[in-house]
Amino acid sequence: MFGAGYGECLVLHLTENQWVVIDSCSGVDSGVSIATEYLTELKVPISSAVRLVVATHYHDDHIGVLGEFFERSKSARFGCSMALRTNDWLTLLEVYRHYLQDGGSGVDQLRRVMNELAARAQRKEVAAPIFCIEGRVIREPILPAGAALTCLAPSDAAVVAMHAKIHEELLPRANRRRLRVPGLDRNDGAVVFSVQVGAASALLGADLEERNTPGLGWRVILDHLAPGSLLHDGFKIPHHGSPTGFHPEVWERLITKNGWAVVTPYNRQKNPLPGIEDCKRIAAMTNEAFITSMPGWARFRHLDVAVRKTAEETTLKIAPEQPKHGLVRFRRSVKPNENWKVELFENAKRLSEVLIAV
Amino acid sequence: MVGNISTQASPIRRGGTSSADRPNVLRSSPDLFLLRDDDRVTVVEVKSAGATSVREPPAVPVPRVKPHSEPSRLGFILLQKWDGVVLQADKDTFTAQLFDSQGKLPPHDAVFARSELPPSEERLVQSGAPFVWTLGYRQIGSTRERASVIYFRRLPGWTEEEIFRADVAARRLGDSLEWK
Repeated sequence: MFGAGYGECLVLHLTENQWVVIDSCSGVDSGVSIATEYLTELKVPISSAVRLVVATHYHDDHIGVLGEFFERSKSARFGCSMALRTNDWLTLLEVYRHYLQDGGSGVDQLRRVMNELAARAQRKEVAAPIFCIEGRVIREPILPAGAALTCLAPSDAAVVAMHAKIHEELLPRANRRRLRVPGLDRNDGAVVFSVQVGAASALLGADLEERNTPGLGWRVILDHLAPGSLLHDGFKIPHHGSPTGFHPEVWERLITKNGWAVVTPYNRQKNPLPGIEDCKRIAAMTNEAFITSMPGWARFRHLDVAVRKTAEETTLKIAPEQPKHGLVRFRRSVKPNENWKVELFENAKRLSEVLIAV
Repeated sequence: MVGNISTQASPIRRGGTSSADRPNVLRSSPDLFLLRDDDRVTVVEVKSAGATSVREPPAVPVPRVKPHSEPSRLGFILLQKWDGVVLQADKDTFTAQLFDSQGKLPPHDAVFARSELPPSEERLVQSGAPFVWTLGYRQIGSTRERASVIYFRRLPGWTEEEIFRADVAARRLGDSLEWK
């Protein structure tokens, strides 16, 4: 699990040197995905070994440099939420092709993925995306034998709700104000996976939030759980450990007691996530909680003292987007009754260290 | 003798009371007149015998811009300019992503209080809205003060043609990818 102050990326090794990458963020070189850097360092042939690339939802911190990585992954299928399977979404991507503002359109990476898929379609390769919706299971031949990715979200209701939001709130209309694609405040369409490889398992929570609305959020996943459902060994904590991403029943019914958990920070807001209370809440659920890098704003620096003083006086906070990456790596054999080995790299830490640091 | 007139072309027709009869002066100098009469150009050299000074044409009054005798009392010295986009907003603040207009600094994030904005700008705060933030010195006469100005870009709205073309391209793309 990779994470910086902004951005996250999950790289899964599913045996037989076959890999799945879920979401993406930039590496040390901001033009390259961190997954590219990591797999290149491991001498993994990205063009043949990566079997699936998934964008759980369209927010910038999950699709950073995704296009670059997908273009390299010549053998990979592309997966995304069923919530994006609407002509309105493609129209939105096309409209923003010519959005000439600094910072791009916010969906430039997904358009780059679309262009790559279109090129593959022209070459008569399999280009159709894998649309993820509750109940869909991805396994052979896309994944190796013994591996399965089961979609727990989005639900049907979430798909319908997202289609309506894309149509009403995101899709540009004639004479409407020309804005960059705004981020929806709720990630109802985010893809949640239960991954199993042999006896190893993990719940990947993406950015799904609890909505206290029928048919949406974690409630609907819990309501649709079959009795005796799998207790996962580990948990990718949703929505950067926020209160809205938390549901106690998820820990009770889907995660092994004291299973490992990993969270990525999100600094790009007034109060970075996870906050102190969020860390305490997670620490109360498991002793084996990790964070990819410390939350919080960096220090603003500028060569000109006048600029620095004026900027600090004008703003409540200002800081560079710093790619302070961290990697938390979880490894175990696929055989039963094996233990997980956890390794921390760069800025990754145990969550307990964050609590001590404050 | 007042002056000799020598020509290089046909003699000038003199007289005539209407403007159509009078030749058109193309160019003139103290000694030469270039006259056009129909399609012919006639050069007329005027020499004044016994003259001790060159006869100058009458001065033509033209407007003149008076040069400034002192620098402007108002000015702005730009130190830093950012192009920003609002990421999220609540009733008191907004968070934005900032891009250095010169491309020398990496992207930054910032949180602003909405009270920093005048009402005309504050009403434009919404997720996705582009703005410009300039920092520098404001010069008023001999005094100088640090200044920070935020203004939101008033971009033209989306056009129907843009939406239509995008929709056509999207359908084509969707068909090729089995997106629907």
